[in-house]
Amino acid sequence: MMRASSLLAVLALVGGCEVTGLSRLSFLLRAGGLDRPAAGPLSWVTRAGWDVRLEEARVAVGPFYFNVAPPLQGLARSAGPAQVLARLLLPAAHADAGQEHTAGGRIVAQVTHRIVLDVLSPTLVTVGRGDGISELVRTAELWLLPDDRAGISGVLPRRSVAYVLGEASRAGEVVAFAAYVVLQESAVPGQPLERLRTVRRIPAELPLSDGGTVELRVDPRPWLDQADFSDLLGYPVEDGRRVARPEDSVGRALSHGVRLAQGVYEFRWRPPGDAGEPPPN
Amino acid sequence: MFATLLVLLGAGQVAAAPTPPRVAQPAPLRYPEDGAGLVVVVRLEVLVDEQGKPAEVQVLGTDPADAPPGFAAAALEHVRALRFVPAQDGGVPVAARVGLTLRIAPPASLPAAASPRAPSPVSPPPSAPAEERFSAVVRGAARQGERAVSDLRIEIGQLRVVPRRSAGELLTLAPGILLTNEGGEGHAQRVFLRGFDAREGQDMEFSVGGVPINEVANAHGQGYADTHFLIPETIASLRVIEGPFDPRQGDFAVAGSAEYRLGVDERGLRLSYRGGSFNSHRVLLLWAPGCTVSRVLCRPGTFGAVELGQSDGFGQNRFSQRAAATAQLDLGLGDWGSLLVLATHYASRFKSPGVVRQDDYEAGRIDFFGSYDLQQGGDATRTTLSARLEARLGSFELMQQAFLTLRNLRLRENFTGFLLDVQRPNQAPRGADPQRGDLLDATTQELTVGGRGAARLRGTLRGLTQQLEVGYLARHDRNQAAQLRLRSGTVVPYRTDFHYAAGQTNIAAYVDLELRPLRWLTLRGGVRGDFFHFDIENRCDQIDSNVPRAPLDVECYSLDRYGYRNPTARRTATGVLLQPRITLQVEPLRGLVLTGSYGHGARSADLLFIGDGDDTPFSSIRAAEGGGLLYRVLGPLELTVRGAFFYTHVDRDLLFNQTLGRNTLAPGTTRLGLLGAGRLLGPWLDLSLSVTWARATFDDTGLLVPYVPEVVVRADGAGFGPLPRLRLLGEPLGLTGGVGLTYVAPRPLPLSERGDPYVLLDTQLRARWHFVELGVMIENLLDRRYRLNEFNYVSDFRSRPYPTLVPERHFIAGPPLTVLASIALHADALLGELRRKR
Repeated sequence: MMRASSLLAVLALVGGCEVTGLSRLSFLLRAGGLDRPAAGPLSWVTRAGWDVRLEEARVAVGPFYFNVAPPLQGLARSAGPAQVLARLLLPAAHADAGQEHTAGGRIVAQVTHRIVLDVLSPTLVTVGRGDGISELVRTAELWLLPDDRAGISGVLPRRSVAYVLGEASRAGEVVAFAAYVVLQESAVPGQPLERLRTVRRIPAELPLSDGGTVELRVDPRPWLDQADFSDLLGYPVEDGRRVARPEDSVGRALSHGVRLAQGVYEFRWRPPGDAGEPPPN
Repeated sequence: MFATLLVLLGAGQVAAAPTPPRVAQPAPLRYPEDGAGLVVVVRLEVLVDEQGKPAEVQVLGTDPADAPPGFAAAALEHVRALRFVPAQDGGVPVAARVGLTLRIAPPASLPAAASPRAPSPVSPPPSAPAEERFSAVVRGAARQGERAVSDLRIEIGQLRVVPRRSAGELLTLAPGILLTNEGGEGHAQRVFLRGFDAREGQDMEFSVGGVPINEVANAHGQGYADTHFLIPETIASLRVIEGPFDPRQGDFAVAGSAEYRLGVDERGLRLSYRGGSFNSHRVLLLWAPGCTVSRVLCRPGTFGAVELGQSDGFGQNRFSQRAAATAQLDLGLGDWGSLLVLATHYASRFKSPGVVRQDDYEAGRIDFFGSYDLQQGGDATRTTLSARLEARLGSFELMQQAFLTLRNLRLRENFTGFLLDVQRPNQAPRGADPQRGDLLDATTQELTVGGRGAARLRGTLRGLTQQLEVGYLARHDRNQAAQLRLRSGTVVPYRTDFHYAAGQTNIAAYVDLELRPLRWLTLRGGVRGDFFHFDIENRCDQIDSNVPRAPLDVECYSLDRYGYRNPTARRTATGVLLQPRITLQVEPLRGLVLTGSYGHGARSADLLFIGDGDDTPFSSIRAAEGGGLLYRVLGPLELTVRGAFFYTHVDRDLLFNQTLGRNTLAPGTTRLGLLGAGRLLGPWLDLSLSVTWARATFDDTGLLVPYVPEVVVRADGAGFGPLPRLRLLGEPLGLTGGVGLTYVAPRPLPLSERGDPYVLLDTQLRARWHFVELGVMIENLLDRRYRLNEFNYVSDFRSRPYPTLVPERHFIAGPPLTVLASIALHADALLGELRRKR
């Protein structure tokens, strides 16, 4: 019986070795902070002129979805800002982000894992294995969830999705600060919670193939670009720091910054055998 | 002696029969010594060779079943002495197998045994009065491959013993047909044939006794054809044409057509029960009056049957209940013709497991036979009435039929889990807020009325038969179809996908010519014209709203950007199509027929895709086939072997979309393939084997059409007959056994994957003693765990912490090892025994 089966299977493949198009694949997602020589505090000057020194910065990211839709930059060339905004805000949200949940395009890959990332460490850590199909990814999407079934939220205080600790100084003013991002419905009135919790249309040119690696780098500097730390000067000091609130400019900047589609999250593709490929887990 | 020759007419047409054999030289018939004054009907099957001699004679049974053995012996002796004018095909003598019914009555000097005080038998007279009736016609080469090599007229015969629990499964007697089922016991079976995924009928025309079965506006899929209303024991034969090569084939005959003919050969009253694995129970009451009861009602087409069934099913959420009743009256009108009246009723309720994700199964999150959504299932009812008149007026043969069908179907299926539901602003992904889910609730109500007719003129030219047939079909369907989405758990509707009421009229006419210019050359063909009229009222023309500030969940909306609008819209359209079909047959050697066929077929448009005033966008099919058929009589064995190459092109195909829950338009496709099949029939065995290879590709990309199996192998075998020298309480013991084997090669799936191949072995054994028949049926004898259906698409059944949005392998499990035992009581034999004891 088995011999006959094998013979017929061979017969099936005679002249029939063609395929139905595309293929499924598996890849690894690794993530880390800004690509720099060593871990440690990160200092820079914001657009508002604050000299910021971050001592700790973490963000909870994942799951990740990869789309064939082009990034918004491309969209903006053919449509005005109003149309782009309208497309984004049209009530087409899907609870579980269906095939058109990103207001267009199609999800072709995913990594349904989550990680709390130390964005001050340049070392890439493994997030998890992803699966998808062999299409060119143009944009990525990541979710910022306050809680999950894996119970990793305890790493972040106050059910936040991101937090930063540091010191900002400008013209003799020095502010030791702490800031958290808690995404809730009241954060942006009129925005579905699901939309608040997703960062969409992150440019990502990823020619996925089986066995490769996607690398994610997170740059925390844009998180605080618009922050005016003088807003915190009137706040009480807790554990040596002034804690930003959602309504002040630091809280708003961080809340906006972690959801920026451009400038914060950078995805790169490393094909199988590339020098950057990590050893298998 | 009185002889009647009855030519059975195939459904949907006036029979294109060759001349059956007829008695040329009568023979004496003696009344048996052990006749006891009884009137007994003996049914025989006779193979009449090309010289008109009875090469093989077999007693099929007696009525009453417990008639003394002398009747069978007398009948055998009588028939072996007969000489026939052999069957003729276009003037050429051919071997033929015929059924013969002898009614043996005592001579006038003997009183009939019907009287309880029948006297003791006396010495037999030299001859006895009898009636002979031919009840079937040629089953040899002459009836095979009329329109194509793969034009199969399948007499179920002894292969009935091979396990097949539904009428649909009988289709697998035709080469290359694979059946699967994605929706439970009451869901129509999905048919794969020669590179086509014919779904539940979109590409295959089904009819029963001339009554069309395909539903033109089914919410689940256009052409949905559910044959579960048929009771398998009442199916006498099946004609399958693989391809559109006969002008009688109509709408949906893309991959081919299947035509069931109802009838019961074994006469009498039968009560049977079958039960076993998974708490399965089935009761059948079948009455086919014998000629001792009524000579009017003893034609094979007359019967009444009721079936009740219930099963928990072989896994989670597979419960089903069903009831079916069928009655058919086949009234002979002497030499003038016949009248066939058919009534069927059917109701079913069933649960459906739906799909299982492969990753969930591998991770142990769901059982192989598990189900994500226990609300899946359905309900189906069907009522059909039909009357069919056939008449012969000299060289004319006429047929006229009227039919009416009422059909209700509700299917609840969830293909995607929680993928598509629109989220409310206050909901959290995977949070406590209940999502509503993607459970589809598709309902269809359909009324079909129509008629068909045909007239055939037969004549001879230089001794060769020439025929011309014209025919028509007129059919009107009124239907309502809707698809809603239901809240998970509560099954409260929250969204309408579509809702329409429609009327579709199909009027078709055909001309079919059969020319035989030479004895070895036959040209058959003609043209069919179809006219379709569609009248569609879309009752939910605007599902969503793009009006600013409109709520998220709107449907059947009565406001657009210009202001108020009626939520309904009406569309009407027509379409006309001409379809030529032609067949050329050459018979270079006796018993070897080479056939080339070409046909143009069509599938009418799905109502959802019809615009107002548009010409109906038909799917056009061009098919060609070439091959040969060899028929040989090898002593007591009858061998038929066929092989063919086929090609089919569809300009606008349909593919099932799991997200939408129904078929959607796809680009053109081309199919190429080969088939080989054979059947060996003998006095104690019946073997059938077929192998089909098919390759289906999309025209635009050259990629394979997914889901279609490239290689299908099917083998059926039956052995039967009385066990020699084995008697119990003086009664012989008859044994019948059957084995069926199915092999399906790895099927191409989307994303360049292949499904798993599988081999299935089914068997059944029956033992008949006197009036009792016991049986054991074993399906999936090897207890293979196999995937009946496999898919690759996106779903999210909330089995993982986060949404899954990329395609994943899904499957529907096939049945495991199933053991069913049966007992049947043949009441006529039992009553005869009781009478004898009294």
